[in-house]
Amino acid sequence: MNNNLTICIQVDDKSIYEFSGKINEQGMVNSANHIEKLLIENGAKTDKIQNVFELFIETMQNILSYAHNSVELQNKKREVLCNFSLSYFTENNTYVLESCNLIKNTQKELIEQKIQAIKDLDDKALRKLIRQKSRSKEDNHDKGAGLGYIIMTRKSSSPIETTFIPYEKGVLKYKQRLII
Amino acid sequence: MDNIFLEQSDNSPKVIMDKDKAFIAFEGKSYPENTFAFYRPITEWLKQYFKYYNSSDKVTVINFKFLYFNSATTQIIFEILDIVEEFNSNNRVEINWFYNEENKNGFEDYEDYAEEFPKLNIKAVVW
Repeated sequence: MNNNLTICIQVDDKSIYEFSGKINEQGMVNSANHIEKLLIENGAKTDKIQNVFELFIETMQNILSYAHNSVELQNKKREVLCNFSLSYFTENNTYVLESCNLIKNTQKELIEQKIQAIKDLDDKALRKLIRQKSRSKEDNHDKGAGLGYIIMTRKSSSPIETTFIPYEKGVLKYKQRLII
Repeated sequence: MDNIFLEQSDNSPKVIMDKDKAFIAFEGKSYPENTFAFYRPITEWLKQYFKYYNSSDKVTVINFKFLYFNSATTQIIFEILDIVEEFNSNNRVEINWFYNEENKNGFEDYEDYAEEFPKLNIKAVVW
């Protein structure tokens, strides 16, 4: 399984940070701090740093919570096998955050529905939706009110790109690409 | 009810909840893995505070000074403001939303909270 997953994302000379392997909360924190430092060194503006940082966190917390192979450790902490990369494109000053993990194939439709429902909303409508969902308690559970994809859409400069690749029976590789 | 003082960590904010000084503050990054579990004692404390300790001769100050926060924290901030709105009967509360002037997101977050809770008169403060 590991060999297939580790080649999930193509890494090239645009990549400024990449990870492949098992990650848990502490690993995510370390990566987030490293990414923040790289962006500051790269001269990124404050709001760009915030967007990249927060979308990295949303992506990783989604993976920790929902990946097929996510394992519960002590105190409800989780660990999961995944990979991700952050690339920088100087020509348009954009960062691209790609991630790859395994999901159950039943999650595919749910992810597609969530993204489809919000992909054409403008910033004002996305902000309104965040407020509505946060206060309505609909769709509310231990993992939140399902705000993750809305915030990803709001803070990305292009629509969320997803790819689902058959992996084994009942399991898909889920690739996600955010342009920030 | 004891006061709550939590040190800042890499992914959780410094938290001050001081009933004696009527001072509440959140400062730093907020993206604990189990965000709701982290904030549960805090929201419970707030309900108790506004029910039993909030006196009419004191103004309660609440400062939000977040550097980065995850979507679950967004939801928790709404929950905190809901509690203030519901339980703060004497309306003597000052809420400050600190934001970095170079970061338009910070001010937009302020606008969203201020618009959603007009009675609370949330103030935007540049830091």
